[in-house]
Amino acid sequence: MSARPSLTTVHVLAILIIGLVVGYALGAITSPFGREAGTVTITVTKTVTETKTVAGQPSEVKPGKKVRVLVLFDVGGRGDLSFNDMAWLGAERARKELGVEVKFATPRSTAEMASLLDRLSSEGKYDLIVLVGFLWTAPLEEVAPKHPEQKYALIDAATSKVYPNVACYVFREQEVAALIGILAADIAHNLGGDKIGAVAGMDIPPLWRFHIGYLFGAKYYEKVTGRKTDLLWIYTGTFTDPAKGKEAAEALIRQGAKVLYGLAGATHLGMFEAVREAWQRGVKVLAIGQDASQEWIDPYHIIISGLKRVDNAVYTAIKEVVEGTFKGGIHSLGLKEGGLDLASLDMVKWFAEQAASVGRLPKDLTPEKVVEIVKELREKYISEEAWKIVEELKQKIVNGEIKFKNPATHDEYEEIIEQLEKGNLEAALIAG
Amino acid sequence: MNIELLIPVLLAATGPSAVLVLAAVGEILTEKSGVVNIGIEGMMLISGLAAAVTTHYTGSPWLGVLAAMCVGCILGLIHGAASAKLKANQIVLGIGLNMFAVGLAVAVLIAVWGNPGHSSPLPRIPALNVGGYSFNPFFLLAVGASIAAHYILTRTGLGLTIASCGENPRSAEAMGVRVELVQTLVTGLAGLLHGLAGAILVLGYVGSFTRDITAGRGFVALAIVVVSNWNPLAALVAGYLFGTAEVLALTLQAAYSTTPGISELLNTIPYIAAIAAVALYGVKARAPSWLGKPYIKE
Repeated sequence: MSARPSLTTVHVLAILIIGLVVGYALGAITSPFGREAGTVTITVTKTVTETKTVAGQPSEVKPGKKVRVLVLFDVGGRGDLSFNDMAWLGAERARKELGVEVKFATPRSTAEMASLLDRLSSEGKYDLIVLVGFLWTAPLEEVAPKHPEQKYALIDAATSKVYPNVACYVFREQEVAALIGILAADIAHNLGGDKIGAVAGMDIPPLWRFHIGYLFGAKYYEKVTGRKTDLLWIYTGTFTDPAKGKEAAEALIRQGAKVLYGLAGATHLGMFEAVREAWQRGVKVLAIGQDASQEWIDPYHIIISGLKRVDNAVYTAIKEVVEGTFKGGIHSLGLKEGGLDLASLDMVKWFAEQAASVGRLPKDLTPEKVVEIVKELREKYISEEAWKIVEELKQKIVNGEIKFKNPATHDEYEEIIEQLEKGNLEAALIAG
Repeated sequence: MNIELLIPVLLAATGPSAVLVLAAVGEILTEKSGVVNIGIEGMMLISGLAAAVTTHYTGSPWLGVLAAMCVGCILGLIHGAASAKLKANQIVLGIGLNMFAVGLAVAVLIAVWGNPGHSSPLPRIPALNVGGYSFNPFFLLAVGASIAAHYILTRTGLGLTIASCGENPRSAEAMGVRVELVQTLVTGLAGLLHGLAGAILVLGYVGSFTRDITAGRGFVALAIVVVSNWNPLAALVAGYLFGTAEVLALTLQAAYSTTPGISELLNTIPYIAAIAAVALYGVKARAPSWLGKPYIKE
């Protein structure tokens, strides 16, 4: 074997190209954790601040200086039909109803989040900076102590310490999952089955809360109507693998699940496909989405979605600053605070319109048609009785009669699930 | 688990296994010729993306499959030429391709569908209905490809030529084989199969493109190559077993989902199966002698 050739132009070129590729890619790698995995990544086409000043109507709330708000989106920015778009919706509502001045910005990459936040904070131009999404947690913890005068609101995540100038908004997922559980159980029985299923992401606390709520809802329905309902639950272990989501959904369908609840971000996009395919084989099953209204993806088979109202969290945060009631710490949002909800037909329409505006709505559909199809689907497969039970449970949750436990350990979570399976509803609730 | 449940599991495994088998068979061909390509993951992602974009604009999933195969072939030829002709470090090339693919996927997703996460639903190639359960027709293609690859490698002169490049390029060269050309073309041919695997994932299974849709399947295919001892027929069996193990793990969760704690353990079944297979058969496996080493003429 001959000796390796010495460093040539080819080598230098190769090293250069590889360096470029690696550098580019490092910027692209972020940590997709927990939430809607599809939205966590880098934007390569947008510039730093896609700022747009929107002058609000003359404010009646504060006759003096107008409250100024900056909303910083997650990387990716608007157009995700989920978190960022809903945050925008909430800020727009605050602008109209509270007469505040709102600016929006999108960071170009995770790497510049901290420096961008630091720069904007030191300008001191804003009464409130709203940060949308989990990825802002670390930059915020770095920057917040340096600017004690600046108020921040962090949406759908919590800092590890409490800062007097940071208000964190998190959600009590059990509450919406319980309502979905009732509807799912009813749909399953209307489709001639007695099993409901869920394609979940990773075995982590937010998913424990969904699991507890969903199972609680099904067992609540069982108790009220006397119709036995079982839950089949699968952890796929990933939020980014739709192929595995499809495999999981097919496994659930084979085991007799009639309704599948998607709790796995991009993974459960594969679940929607499995449901569509099942109909083609003559197997009737329906799907349920989560976080944003996902009905538009396949209105013939996605009957409803559980909503995480990021828009209301943003609105509430702004409102508290306007009214002077801003308080640092963790604020938990549920049905009562409008932080969670079932997707109403208005919401379905709004999301379908957003999808259509970026050309993502399937070609043969219009927003009006999506609403029509979903409405028909709901009338056909959800009974009046189920809506009544949902309303009843919702009331109990809103007026505080029912409060869900938030398990701190996996053992506690397993214990609650075990008790719920036996029909012991109290096990999931805080006594009192 | 009774037999009535096992048959549907075996049918359901055809989709995920078709992807793994095609990717592994492609890799066996390139590795037999002496080129290692750890960029399968990236190649499948980029060709899957090409499939999605083509289908989005033309409305035809078949054109999408064709586009994916073309893109895969071109990427294979580039990898082959860079490895064989330019003597680049093949491992670094592969890593670079994998990283580049992620960035490209995001950029194209934003440009075409206005968001970095996923495409809109695409028209897809339907699965077949076998007794009320779905059977993925591409699995037959995977079976065909592995039989053809096995036949070529063991029964034809071309197979001997390919293997000679991977075992002893110097002797091959002395016999008049144009080693660099063979390696480049074989890697291009393998790229075709990797492209097909990516297209199946997007258009033949999931029905839309997402940023991380390959989810490590390229690396599983690399493991299958070793387990199968560079034998395409063994790769067919190993790929199908891996796909079945994954489906079985999920089915067990669905069947016994009262204990959530067990899920993580069940999800490791396919990987444990892979490690066990490597431990049992991998020791006997023998890679082509010249695998991954650039052949430099005297």
